[in-house]
Amino acid sequence: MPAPMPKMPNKDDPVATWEFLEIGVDRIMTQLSEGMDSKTYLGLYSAIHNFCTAQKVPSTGTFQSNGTKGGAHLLGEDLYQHLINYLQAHLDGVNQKSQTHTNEALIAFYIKEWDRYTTAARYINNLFHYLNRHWVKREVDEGKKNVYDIYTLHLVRWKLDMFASTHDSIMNACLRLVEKERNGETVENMQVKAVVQSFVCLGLDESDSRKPTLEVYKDYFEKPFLAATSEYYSRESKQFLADNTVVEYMKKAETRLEEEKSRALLYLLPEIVTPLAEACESVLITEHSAVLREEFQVLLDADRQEDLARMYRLLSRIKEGLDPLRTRFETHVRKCGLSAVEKVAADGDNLDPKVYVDALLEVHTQYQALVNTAFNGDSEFVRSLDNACREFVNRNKVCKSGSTRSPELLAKYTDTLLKKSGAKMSEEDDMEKCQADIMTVFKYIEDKDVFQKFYSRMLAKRLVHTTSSSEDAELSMIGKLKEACGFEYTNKLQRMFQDIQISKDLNSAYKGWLATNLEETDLKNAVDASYHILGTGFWPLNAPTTTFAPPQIITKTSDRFASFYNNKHQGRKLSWLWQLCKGEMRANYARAQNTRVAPTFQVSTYQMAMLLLFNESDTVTYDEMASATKLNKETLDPSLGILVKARVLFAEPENAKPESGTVYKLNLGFKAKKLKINLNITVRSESKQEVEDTHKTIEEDRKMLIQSAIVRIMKSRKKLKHALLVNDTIQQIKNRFTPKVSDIKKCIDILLEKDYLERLEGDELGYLA
Amino acid sequence: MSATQKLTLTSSDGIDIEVERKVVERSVLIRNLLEDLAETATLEPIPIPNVNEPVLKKVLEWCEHHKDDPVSMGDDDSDSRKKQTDIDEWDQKYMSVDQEMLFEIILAANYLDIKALLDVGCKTVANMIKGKSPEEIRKTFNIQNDFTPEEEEQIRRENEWAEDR
Amino acid sequence: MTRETPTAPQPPAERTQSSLERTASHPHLALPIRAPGAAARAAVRAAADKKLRDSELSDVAGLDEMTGMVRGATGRAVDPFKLLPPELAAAIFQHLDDRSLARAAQVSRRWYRVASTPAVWRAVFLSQWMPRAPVAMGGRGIGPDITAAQQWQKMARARRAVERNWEAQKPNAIYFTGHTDSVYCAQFDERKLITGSRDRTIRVWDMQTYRCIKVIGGPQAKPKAPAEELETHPRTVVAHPSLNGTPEGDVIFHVPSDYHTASILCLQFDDDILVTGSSDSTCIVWDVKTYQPRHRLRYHSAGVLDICFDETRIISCSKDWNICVWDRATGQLLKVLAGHKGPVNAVQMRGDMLVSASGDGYSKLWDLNRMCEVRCFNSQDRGLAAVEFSDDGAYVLAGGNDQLIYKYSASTQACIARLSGHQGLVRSLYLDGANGRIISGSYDQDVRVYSFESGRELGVYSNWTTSWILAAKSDWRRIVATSQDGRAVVLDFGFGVEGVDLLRGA
Repeated sequence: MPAPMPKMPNKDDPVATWEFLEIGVDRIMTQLSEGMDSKTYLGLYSAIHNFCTAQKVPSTGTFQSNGTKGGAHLLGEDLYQHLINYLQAHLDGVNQKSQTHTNEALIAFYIKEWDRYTTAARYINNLFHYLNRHWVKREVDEGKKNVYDIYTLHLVRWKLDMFASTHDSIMNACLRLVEKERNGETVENMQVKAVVQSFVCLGLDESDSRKPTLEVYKDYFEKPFLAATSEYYSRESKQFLADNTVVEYMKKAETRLEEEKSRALLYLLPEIVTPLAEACESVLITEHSAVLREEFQVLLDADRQEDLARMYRLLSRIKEGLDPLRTRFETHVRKCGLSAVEKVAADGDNLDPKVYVDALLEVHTQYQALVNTAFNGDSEFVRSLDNACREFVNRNKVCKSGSTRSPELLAKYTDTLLKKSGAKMSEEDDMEKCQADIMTVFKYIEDKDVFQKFYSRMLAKRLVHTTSSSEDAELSMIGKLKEACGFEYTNKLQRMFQDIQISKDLNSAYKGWLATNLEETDLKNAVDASYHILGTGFWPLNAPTTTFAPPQIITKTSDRFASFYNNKHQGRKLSWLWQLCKGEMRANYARAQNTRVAPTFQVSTYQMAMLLLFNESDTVTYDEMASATKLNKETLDPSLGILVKARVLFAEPENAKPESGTVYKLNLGFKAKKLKINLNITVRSESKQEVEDTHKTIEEDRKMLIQSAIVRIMKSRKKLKHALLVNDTIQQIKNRFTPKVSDIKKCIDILLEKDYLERLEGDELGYLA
Repeated sequence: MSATQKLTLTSSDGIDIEVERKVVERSVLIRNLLEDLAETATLEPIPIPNVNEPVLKKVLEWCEHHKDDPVSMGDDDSDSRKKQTDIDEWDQKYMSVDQEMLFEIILAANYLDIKALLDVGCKTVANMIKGKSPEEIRKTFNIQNDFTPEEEEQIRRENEWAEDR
Repeated sequence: MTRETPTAPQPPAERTQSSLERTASHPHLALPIRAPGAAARAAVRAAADKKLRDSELSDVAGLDEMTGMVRGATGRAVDPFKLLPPELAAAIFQHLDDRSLARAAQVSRRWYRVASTPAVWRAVFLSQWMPRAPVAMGGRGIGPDITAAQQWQKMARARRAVERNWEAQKPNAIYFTGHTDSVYCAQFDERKLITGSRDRTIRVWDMQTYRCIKVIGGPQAKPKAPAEELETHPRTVVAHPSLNGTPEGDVIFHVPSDYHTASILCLQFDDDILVTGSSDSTCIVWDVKTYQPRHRLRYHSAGVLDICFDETRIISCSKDWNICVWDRATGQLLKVLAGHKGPVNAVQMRGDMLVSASGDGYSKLWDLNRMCEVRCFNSQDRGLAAVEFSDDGAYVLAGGNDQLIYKYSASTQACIARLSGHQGLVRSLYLDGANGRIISGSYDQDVRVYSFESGRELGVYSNWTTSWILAAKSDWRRIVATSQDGRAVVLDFGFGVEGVDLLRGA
């Protein structure tokens, strides 16, 4: 314990009071470690309290009315001023001593003195609290500048009497220390942290001492620190790049950036992390970004994923650092896609849809993986990938013959996948994956309406001919398309599915009806038939292109069904799509090879009508056949051709063309290799024709789509400027195909003519309900 | 050191009073002292040189009642409108003392730095002033009117604006 | 002095603005009374003071008990300031109000000295008149810098005089003439007044000289010769003639790069931007320093009837039944809030809550974080034209066709009060939270002032313009009202008050 304090001073004696306080203050400043007792503590506090409260409000003195400097004066200024004088003298001494130190020793001295001084300041602040509460507060409230609470006063004095003359040498010492550390030496870095904290504490807001600012720290620490850092790394990076490869440099730069970040967190202020990183990035990356980018193509060509990832990480740190990479990446992917297509395009028209789709997918898969692993799934790179894919999917060598080739081929590929005869697809996973792949390509297809068209035709066939491999697979595919393009896009597809389902129920109802409404003998002789009822608007099917007189037995069967159906659904009209009907006939005159069983012919209804003629006579002339069936030549000839080719019939004279004068004879010695013989073969030219038809209808459909979009928009907006309407329409249709502005304008004109729209003032259009 | 630890205070007239730490920490002066000084320094009685036993006891009574109040940090409510003259019921009763004691409490609260108690004391005095005419105030506090008639008239005119006309 | 010789009945020892209620409910006990909301303080204070004066004449039971305790038989009365140091004397006086302090100054020389302390007057002034929330309109009336040495006593004196003028309902009138058609909207601060009109222009007026300093509009909107002079109120002090058609008028006319092509229906500004909404279905965000357009907000398909904004969002509401939320910085549309089944006439926000009033008769509360409707308030039957939100977001005010002003609790949806008086549609509502006043403007050509706290009518200003009132706003010293007659009028309760300039902000 230090020596006891002298006797309490007389409260009315300012000189004695300060003498008493000075002993206490000096003891706290210089010998606090020796401790203090409560008597001394309260003695010092009380001395200040007693001094300040000694004076009461005087009732005497000159009475000045409403003077500006009126009022009751508070005591305290004396003590405050004495304290300032004491602190100045004290800090002068500290400053003198600091001159004898340099470098690390100076830092150590500064920190030690700072700690001692601020600890004492907190103590003195508490003892002078009475001054803070009254005199200081009053001065501050009355707008006096440069009066602070006692603790802040200590900091202000330190800043003026100590910091002002030493901060340069201290900062230089710190910078030397950090440079040593960057060079690999182990240093006392916690000392830097203490200096930083001291600088932060000195950031005093002149207008409000309670609000600390980082100004001092920023000016005297952060600024020089960042400058030194930039200089250091600018020098180092140039040297390193001169001696090493770009790949090596990237590794070095990444390490350095990490080091600086952990340095900042370890012993600097969190506030510096961002500016420090920016300073480092500027000299380590921005300065060398051209060199880095040059390396990008090399790395892409060599598929150096790890290095690409590093380059991505580095360049993503700087502003607009990645934009040039993305452009290059996009170009690269597009080129890869185009060349992949070029390789398979050699097959020309015979190009296998699967080979084509696989070629597209392969490129996409490869670069999608690269984006995910090396480019962190960066959404901008994803966009570049999408752009590139969209380009090479829609505009490549295969598409040269027509931009609709891609959706057509994709639809065909989907068809082979979903058809029974399609590639072996035992595992469900495979089906799922293939469909996902299709959707990947589908996403990039611009003419989605073309895909829809082909898809629905092929779906119709699969359904009508029951050649679908799995209902689940069909539904899942439709589900995916719906997810991608919305309800409307798949509406018809779903309705087609429903029709088939409803037809199934209808057929079993019909069976029951037959059993109750038909004589037993009639029932026995009736043709065993099943029916599909297809909604007119939903199916991409056309009426037969030929006249046709069905054989009587078929007429009987179909009439019977028609009467059942009309009874059930009055007012509906059934039209028979004979060209899609088929049946089986047993050739009782022949035997299948090595059996005693008559073979069965699978035939179209047309063929059935032809063959049934031979029940009456073994020979039938071409003209007889034409007049009996009423089929036109375009239909009759190819169907007949198949029967001849399969040697079910013989033409006489041999190899005679199907024309008037030719006679057909049933081959009674027909040798059947199998029990079932399929004669219902689609003629090649027929399917080619279909493709052309499909393309043709697309143009018409597009016009309708544009018009309905316009009506929809106008219905909700009521009034719209022409240009805005065109814009909105493009937005609405974009996901089906990219409409031409001129087409939209044409459609608007059509709607104006039809009185759906009206022209208003100022290029505006109005909706007419 | 726990909040229920007992401390001994010695009043200015030399009487020791034992009191719970939490209670006495209502005084910012004592709270700072306990934080600043080594623990050994607080084991012996803490002298309170400016407050005598009756007043110290009265003040500690208030501290005891308010020991669980939230500790208000800082003192910067002077600019806000919080300065209501409402005083809660317990405090009103507590303040039902003669004027001398009332002023002693104010002085002690000021010395010990117990802001809430100081406020209650000041509000109590303010309430004794509010709404009274100058003459009524003089009577309340037994004050001699020491103005000359000229001064009085001048000051009355100076302050006339505050009155309803 | 003891109780046996009562010379004068003692007024209540504790005088608060709530003393009225206290003596009514607890005649024998001085119980702590919750402070009423700051919003209504000044107005209630005025009422309480009056009541208090009356009560001085009658002896109120139980209060002697209080003073008796203080001046108890055991003690003697002492001048506290003989015992207490000046800092404590000041601490006591800081709990007084301006009138008590003025009286205390007259007690003795010692008391006079304490009462003349600037710090005391500062505390007394601020505790009475420092607004608790930032003010949206006009000034704060507390001088340029409360941390500087201000003449607090003189300021209190001026402020008290202004309050008296409000009580006496005696403002002076200042007319702003120049718009050539209905003035739909206005906002002012201490330097300027900005108005928007059916004449398709925005005008900026100097609040010191009361002259028009800028007219902003398209080339077609340029005003020609001034219209006929309209009648002014007898208490008019300033009415500068219109500058339309004069060379000076040409100088202040300004065609920006983008402008509204129809009526300006609503506006709001802060230190950075001015946002206007127009019958042309758009809003324009302007730089309020240069009056150059920054963004044009397009989505609405009919007139934009009201707007409001905060640091990040701009809200607009329209005749097309929709409310739009826009990004303040970019002008991007963030969200469309649909739900009203009629034109949305007014919007107002506090924090993340938005309140709207619609011609469908409903006022709705929306959560702007979740972008959804959270409450719906029903008026009697017909449309609501105006809506206000208290500073703390606890109350919603709405007015309209019913000729009533409704006060709802935002949390319970309950209607707490209906303020009546208007004889026409309530077209405009403004809540001056800092001074506890509701200002309403109506098609009956009245501007009315109500106490926000009690709902009491504090003033009626009839026929200060010659047609419908379309907007009425206020601050501590004035009401600014705009009218269908093409004028804006300031009802200034501080005009000519001694020392009133000390109260102006920086």
